[in-house]
Amino acid sequence: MKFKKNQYIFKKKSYFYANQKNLPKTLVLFAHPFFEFPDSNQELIAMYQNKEQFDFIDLYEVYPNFHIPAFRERKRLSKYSKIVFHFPLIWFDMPPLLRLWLDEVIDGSWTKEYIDNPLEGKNIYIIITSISKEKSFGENGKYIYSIEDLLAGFLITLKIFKTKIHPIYVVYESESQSFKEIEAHKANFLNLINPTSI
Amino acid sequence: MGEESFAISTLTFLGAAIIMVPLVKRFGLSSVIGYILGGIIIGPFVLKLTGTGAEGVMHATEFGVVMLLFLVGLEMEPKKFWSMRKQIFGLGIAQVGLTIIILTSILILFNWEKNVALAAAMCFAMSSTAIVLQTLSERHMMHTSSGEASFATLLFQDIAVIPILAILPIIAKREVEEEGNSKFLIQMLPEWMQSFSVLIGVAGLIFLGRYVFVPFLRYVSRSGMSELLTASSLFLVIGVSELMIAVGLSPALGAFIAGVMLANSEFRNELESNIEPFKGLLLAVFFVSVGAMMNFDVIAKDYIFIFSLVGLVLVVKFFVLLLIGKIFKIQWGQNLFYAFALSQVGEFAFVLLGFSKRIFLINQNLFAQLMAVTAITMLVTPILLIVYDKFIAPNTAPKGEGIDSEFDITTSNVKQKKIIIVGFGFFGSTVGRLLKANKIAATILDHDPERVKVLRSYGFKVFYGDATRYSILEAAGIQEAKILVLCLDNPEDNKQIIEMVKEKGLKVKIFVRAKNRNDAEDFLRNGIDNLYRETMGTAVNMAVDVLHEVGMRKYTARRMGKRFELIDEAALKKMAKEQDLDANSFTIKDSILREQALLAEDSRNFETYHLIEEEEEEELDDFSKQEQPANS
Repeated sequence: MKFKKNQYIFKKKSYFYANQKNLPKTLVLFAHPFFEFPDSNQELIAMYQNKEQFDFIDLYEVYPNFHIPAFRERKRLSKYSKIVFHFPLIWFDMPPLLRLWLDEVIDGSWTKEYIDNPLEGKNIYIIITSISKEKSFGENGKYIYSIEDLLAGFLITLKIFKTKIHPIYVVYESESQSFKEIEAHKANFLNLINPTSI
Repeated sequence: MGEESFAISTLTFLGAAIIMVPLVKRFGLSSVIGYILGGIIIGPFVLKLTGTGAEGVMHATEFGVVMLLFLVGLEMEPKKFWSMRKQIFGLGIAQVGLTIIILTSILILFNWEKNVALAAAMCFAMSSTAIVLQTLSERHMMHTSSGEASFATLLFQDIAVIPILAILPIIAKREVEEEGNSKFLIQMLPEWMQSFSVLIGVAGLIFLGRYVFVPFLRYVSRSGMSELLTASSLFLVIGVSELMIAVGLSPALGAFIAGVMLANSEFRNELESNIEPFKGLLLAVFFVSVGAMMNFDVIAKDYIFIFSLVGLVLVVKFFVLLLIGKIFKIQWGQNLFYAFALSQVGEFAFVLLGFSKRIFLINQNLFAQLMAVTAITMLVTPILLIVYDKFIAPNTAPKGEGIDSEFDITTSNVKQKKIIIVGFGFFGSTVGRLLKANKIAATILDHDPERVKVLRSYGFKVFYGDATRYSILEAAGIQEAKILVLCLDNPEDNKQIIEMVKEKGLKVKIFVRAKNRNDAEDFLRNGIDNLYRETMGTAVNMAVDVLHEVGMRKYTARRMGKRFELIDEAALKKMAKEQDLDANSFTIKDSILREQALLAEDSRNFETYHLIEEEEEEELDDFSKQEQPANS
């Protein structure tokens, strides 16, 4: 199924996934500045479509001017128990708009004890695509650092706000994935989010 | 007729106009019909409100035609006027000459006396400047080829009135008793120069226009009082027309030339806006008085004679116009419009007929009948034009001046595109260029033939066509189009198109340019969400730069600007919703109140830091919910 460009938010009732109705609400924050150039992301994000569980937000489509209304984003967070960050690795880091989202939305005061922390206890899932090979990352690869090393700041930030971070799921060589491989990735990642299903 | 009865009749006439015109406009008819119908209703045969004042009022308000021509002159630069000279004399002489010859011969065939037939034909050769120019400007057709041809013909008729007035006594074989000293200036000249009076008058006016009017207006404007400028505008127009009467020329012609001479001056806009209301008022009363003068007794007494004469005059004038249009190579559709538009008998006929009666060329009975014929043809014209619009225009729509048929949307083979852009001035062309740079094809429409020509020469595929007419939109492919981008200057035109599209129930998505807040609210109430206020973005950018200039960091200033835009948009939507749906016409007081509400909203949103955050974001929340096409 082709994902239409302007359907950046969808919450369609699904008849096929009726058995998943009681799954915890999950917010998908998708950030991709070059989405129109084919990598596997077009196919990958189809896994969120038509499912009651997911509220999908395409940040680059919603905030093309890089103006993020923080209050609205904060208010939104409280509705979900799981948050998915989905983005391609760009120059070994997250896309700038997602970085801005973190800067604008997350408030340092949340770490103080008497202040409500909307992130506390949330399950965090991270799915990343990279055009590089798996072996290039890590001590023995040509990039020296692992993906966890590269995203250390992001992971620590999530950690000090007492979230529950699940292992990063990486789709390597994202420009040359076969249909079968992509289907497998989708299944794997969904299984990560909802371990009981499928 | 006393002073009072004139004022009272004027009052009655205006009342009739105020009631009737909105009514006929609602039926999509020309305002001229409304005026004339209003006149008939208050006239001596329905409500009997006008008494005997009608004729007097009509003569007084013929001055509206003079002002109309002055305004037309203002729109025309001397160069343009000079380039029209061939049209004026060619079309004019052909039309007046042919019409007179044919009508005279036919009337003689019906056993009229020769001199009466000739006099009647001369009166009937005139067309109505008031009706035709009013119609042309209502339809934005002044600059089309039929518009220019009509105008040239009318201008020649204006000039022709003078010699006709001189010829009438000769064919009456009767000396005219001199009417006062109205032509005294010309009579001070030696005899041989009198025949060149037209040239002398025109030359005099050109001299005045160049060396007297502008310094005079500059002198007045230095006083800085706007009412003085209004006064001097009126003074100028009335002065020129009185001067022309004094030298024995048509005041309308004089006013036109004065207008042309001032077209290049810095006072053009000022003069236009000063004279416009007077012109409108006088013309309105003039049209009403035409209606009020319809003498139904005369018509009823010999209706066969009257209506066959009406038919004869219309048919002869129509075919003469069609023929000379053909000779002068006006395109077929344009030519038809030209022939329909000028087929009536005009207000000059009233003057000429009155004069003929005074010199006993025609008797009282015939005078009344011919007056009735004239008035009926004037009433018929707007109806004929409706017939033209409904049945003829769809097949042969008028084209722009010098527009090749391949430029014209109605005649060219337009490839269906997803997007239609209407209006390609500074605003529309920016939209179009950005689309084109991204290789998005759009069908582009513009109603300015000059601009179409220029853009075509730069390789922009722009079509000529007035999109406020549905047939044009249809030719552009509105049925299948997905997006309609409205960038016309005039918000009313944009609104009209939106209403039309909604009426037809088309699913096309509309993006519209809005002049300002009030416009934007109007569009919002019409269910248009994609609206772009032309002043908004630029003003915000300016404020952002000013904020930076007083010391704010650029990035912070930009953020504040962006936030302001969002809040303002939310406030706009909120206020549009709160407004009554029928509050389309609001007073100045209303708009001040709304401005206050806006400022109050601002201070609520921006007051303190914490408030900003919460209030603003809540606003935004509502606002962006509407923005996102959530598929829930």
